[in-house]
Amino acid sequence: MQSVLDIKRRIRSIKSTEKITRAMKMVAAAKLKSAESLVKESRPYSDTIKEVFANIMAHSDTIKHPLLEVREGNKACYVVITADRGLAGGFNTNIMRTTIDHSTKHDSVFLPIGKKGRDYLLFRGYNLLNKGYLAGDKPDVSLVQNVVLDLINRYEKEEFDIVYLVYSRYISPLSQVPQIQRILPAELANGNNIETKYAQHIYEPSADNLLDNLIPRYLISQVYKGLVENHAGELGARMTAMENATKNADEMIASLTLQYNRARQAAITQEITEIVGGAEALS
Amino acid sequence: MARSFRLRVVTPTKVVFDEEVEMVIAPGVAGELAIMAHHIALATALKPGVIKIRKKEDESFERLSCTGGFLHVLNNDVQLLTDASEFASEIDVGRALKARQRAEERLMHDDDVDVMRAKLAIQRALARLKTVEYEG
Repeated sequence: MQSVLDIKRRIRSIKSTEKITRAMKMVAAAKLKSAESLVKESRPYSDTIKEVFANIMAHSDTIKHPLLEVREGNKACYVVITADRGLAGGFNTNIMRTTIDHSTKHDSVFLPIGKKGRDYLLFRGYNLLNKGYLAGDKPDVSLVQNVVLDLINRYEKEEFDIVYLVYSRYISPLSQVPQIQRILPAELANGNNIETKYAQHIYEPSADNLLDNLIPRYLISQVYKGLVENHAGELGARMTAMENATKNADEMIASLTLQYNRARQAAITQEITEIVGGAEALS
Repeated sequence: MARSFRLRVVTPTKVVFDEEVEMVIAPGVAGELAIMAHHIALATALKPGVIKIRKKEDESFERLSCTGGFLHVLNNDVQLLTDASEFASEIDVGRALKARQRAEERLMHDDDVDVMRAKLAIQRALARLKTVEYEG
C-alpha cells in the first residue's frame, strides 16, 4: 500500500492538472461563442453566391469554362484544414485519418492549413505542395484568397486534375464531422436544394465573363467556410475534451482522497495498537 | 406600387447592409449602373469602386467602398456580394494611402513582383479613397 505522503502528493498533482483543464475548458467555451457567430455571419455570403452560381448554371447549358471541366488525370491536391493546437480530443486525428484514407485512390499532394495537419503530414513523409499555412487565431479571408488564387493558377497549369477540400463540419460543440468536398473542377455542393425556377437573367458583360469572376469567389467562400467551421469545431472539441478531463480528474481525486483517509486511519490504528501493546507489556 | 426594394451588401465575414432602399448605384465592370425598384433579373460582376445608396428620393447618398464582387437582382431583391466593404465613416484613409504607396513602390522597384496583385491592391486603395472623396 502507498504511503500517506505519496497519496497526498498525487492528489496535489492531479489538482493542479485539473485547474489547467478547467481553465482551458472555460477559455474554449468563451471563444466558442464568437466562433459560432462567425459561422452564422459567413453563411449569407456563401449561400448567396451559391444561389447566383446555381442560377447561371441552370440557365446556360452551353457554358464551357476551364474550371468546370472534369479532367481524366489522377493527380489530386488535398486542402486539409486542421487546428494549430492539440488538446482537442480526436479532432485533428479524425480529419487526418479521413484525408489519408481518401487520398490513397489518387496520386496526391497536400496543402495543409493548420499546424497540426502540417506536422502530421511532414512527420509521415507525405508530399506537400508548399510549407502550408497556420489556421491562425481568427479565420482570415485574405489568407484564403491567396490560397485559392494559387490553387487555381496551379490547376490551370495542370499540376493536378482535381482539388479536394477536407474540413470538419461544425454541427454542435459535441459533434464535428470530417467532410470531403471537391472544389475543382467546380461543382455545386448540394446543388439540388437550390431553387432555380427564376426567370432568365441578363448577364453583364456575358455569362462566361461572369463565371471568371464568380468561380474564384465561390471557391473562396467555400474554403473560408471550411476555415470558419474548423475554428468553431476546434473550440467545441476542446471544450468537450477538457470537460471530460476535468470530470476524470474529479473522480480520481475522490478515489484518492478515500485511499488517503484509509491509509491515515490505518496508520493511527496501528499506532494505538502499538501503544496499547507496549503498555500491556509493562504491566 | 412600392418604390423601394431590399438591398443586402454581403462580405464573406458579415452582412454590411440590409435595408429597404430607393436606389443603389454600383460600379459594374461594364460601367456604373443604377438599380431602382422592379429592375429586371440581372447578374453582373463589379469592379473596385464606390457603392452609393439612397434610402428615399429626397435624401442624399450613403457611400460604401467596394473591392470588387457581384451584383444579383431578382424579384425586387438585390444582393451585392463584395470581398470587402466599409461605410465612408469607417475607412482608414492613412491605411489606404499607405497601401497604395506600398503597391506602387513594389511595381517600380522590384522586377519579379506579381504585377496583377499590385495593380489590384492599388485599385482597392483607390476605391476606398474615392469613397471618402479624398483629394490628392
